[in-house]
Amino acid sequence: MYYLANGLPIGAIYALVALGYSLIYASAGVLNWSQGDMVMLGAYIGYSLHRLLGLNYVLSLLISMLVVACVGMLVERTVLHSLRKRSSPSINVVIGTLGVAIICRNVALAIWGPDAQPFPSPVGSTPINIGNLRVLPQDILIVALGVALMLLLQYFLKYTREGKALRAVAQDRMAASLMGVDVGKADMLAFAASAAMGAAAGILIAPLFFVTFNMGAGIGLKGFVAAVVGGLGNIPGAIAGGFFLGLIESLASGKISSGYRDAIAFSVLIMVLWLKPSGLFSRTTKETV
Amino acid sequence: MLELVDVSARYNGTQVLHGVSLTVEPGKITTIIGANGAGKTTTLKCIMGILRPFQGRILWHGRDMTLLGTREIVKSGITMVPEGRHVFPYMSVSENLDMGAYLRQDKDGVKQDRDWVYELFPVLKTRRRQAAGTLSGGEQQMLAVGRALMSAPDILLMDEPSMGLAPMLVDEVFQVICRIKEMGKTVLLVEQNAVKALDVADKGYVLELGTTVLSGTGSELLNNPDVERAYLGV
Ligand SMILES: Nc1ncnc2c1ncn2[C@@H]1O[C@H](COP(=O)(O)OP(=O)(O)OP(=O)(O)O)[C@@H](O)[C@H]1O
Ligand SMILES: [Mg+2]
Repeated sequence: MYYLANGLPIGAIYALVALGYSLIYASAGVLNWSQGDMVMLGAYIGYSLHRLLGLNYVLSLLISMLVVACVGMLVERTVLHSLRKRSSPSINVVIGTLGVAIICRNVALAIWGPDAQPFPSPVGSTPINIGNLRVLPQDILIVALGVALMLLLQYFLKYTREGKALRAVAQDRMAASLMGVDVGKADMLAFAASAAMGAAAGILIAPLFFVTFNMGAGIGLKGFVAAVVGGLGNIPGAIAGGFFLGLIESLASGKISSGYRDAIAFSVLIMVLWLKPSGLFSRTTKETV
Repeated sequence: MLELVDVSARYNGTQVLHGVSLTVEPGKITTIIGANGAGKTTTLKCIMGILRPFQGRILWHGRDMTLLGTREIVKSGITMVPEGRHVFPYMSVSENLDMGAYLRQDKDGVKQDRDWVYELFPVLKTRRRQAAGTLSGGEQQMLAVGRALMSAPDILLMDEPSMGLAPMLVDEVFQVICRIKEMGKTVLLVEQNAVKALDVADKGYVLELGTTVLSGTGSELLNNPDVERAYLGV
């Protein structure tokens, strides 16, 4: 129970980041290595709005998601779209997103400086007791807002016209364009939604750590692992993979050794991939978005 | 009327179409027959704006469509049932039909067309909640046709709709094509099954190595000795 409570918040963060990887992989068929840096940008923009300008936390989160979504669309236009038009192999696009990641870090370093910035939780740091569990209010906030955003994304994909079009592009790009779907716009939408999910993860996790210009590297990698464990391109799988990774980490550091947390967690993940190469949560019908 | 005038196209530098010219009369079934690799699918791709010809013109009701994108072409009343069905596998039958009507605003018209599609293919109605990827090949073909009809097209391009189907289902597909014509729609049909295609077609074209080498009414081509030797397997 303790490990569950401990693993859920970080799991929700991984899930949000993983969703970004899977959404873009499913629709555009590429890996976006700038996803982790969308987390970092989200955290910094949230920091500026909330800490420096004194804006309300939730409002800062929403504005930051919006701004970073625009960055995501810009990445789609400058990297994916323009390289695709020259019919570059998709590895070039992947390198392009890696370039974006490095540019983001550099720009963040120039704007916000090299020092780690503290971001106190808007709901305080006094643990509250639930039964015999002591949890931080920020942890509850992370899980609540994180899950709300995941549900919102699911609703968007399932029930809105543009969301359905995005799923159609993910399932059969050529057929989607034959229906009159603007596949370029769908790609932009996928990048925007992914970046927004990353940004939300950034502001939600900021109060647990400091905000730094290279915080995206670690979180980005963990989110990617969660996406692969859930089955890359699989939306429910990304969510499940994120929570799974969070729980494994929590168990590893609690039951064995916190110093070896990552080593143990990743050993388990490698074993998972031995046993189920297509991802732990892939169904037999290979359900995607 | 849909008109192709001297259309030439290539893939990455390899020329595949060498001046295709053909006319599709409204309300009629026109068929293109030809050997594997003759360029039938490529011709349809050019009409749909999936591939841009480097030469020639495509006219639809006299309007030059050659440089338009697929979205604009679909909006203008042209639609295609692609080779190999290409249904959205993880969407339900009913969601697939919704995608067919993606560009339409007229809710009532969409509802009417959906009822009509369900009447044309009763099996789709009974399976409307089932994921399209779990349908049989024949059912997927019906869905692909139904989905195309949901855009309320004036002309339907069909690329080998009978491919891979059991003989009984093949007959059913051709009956459906005739019914679509009876609804007043125009059909451009690409088929391997030349006998059946020419049988239902008002007009046919023979495509060889990327050029239209022969044309005539369906029965003219059926009785043409060259066509017989090359395509009717006699
Ligand atoms: N995407 C592509 N890239 C490169 N070449 C292609 C591509 N698609 C088709 N071709 C080539 O273009 C030629 C015509 O192909 P097309 O698919 O139009 O033939 P088809 O008449 O439809 O044949 P089939 O009866 O086998 O479907 C073939 O030689 C094929 O190899
Ligand atoms: Mg073909």
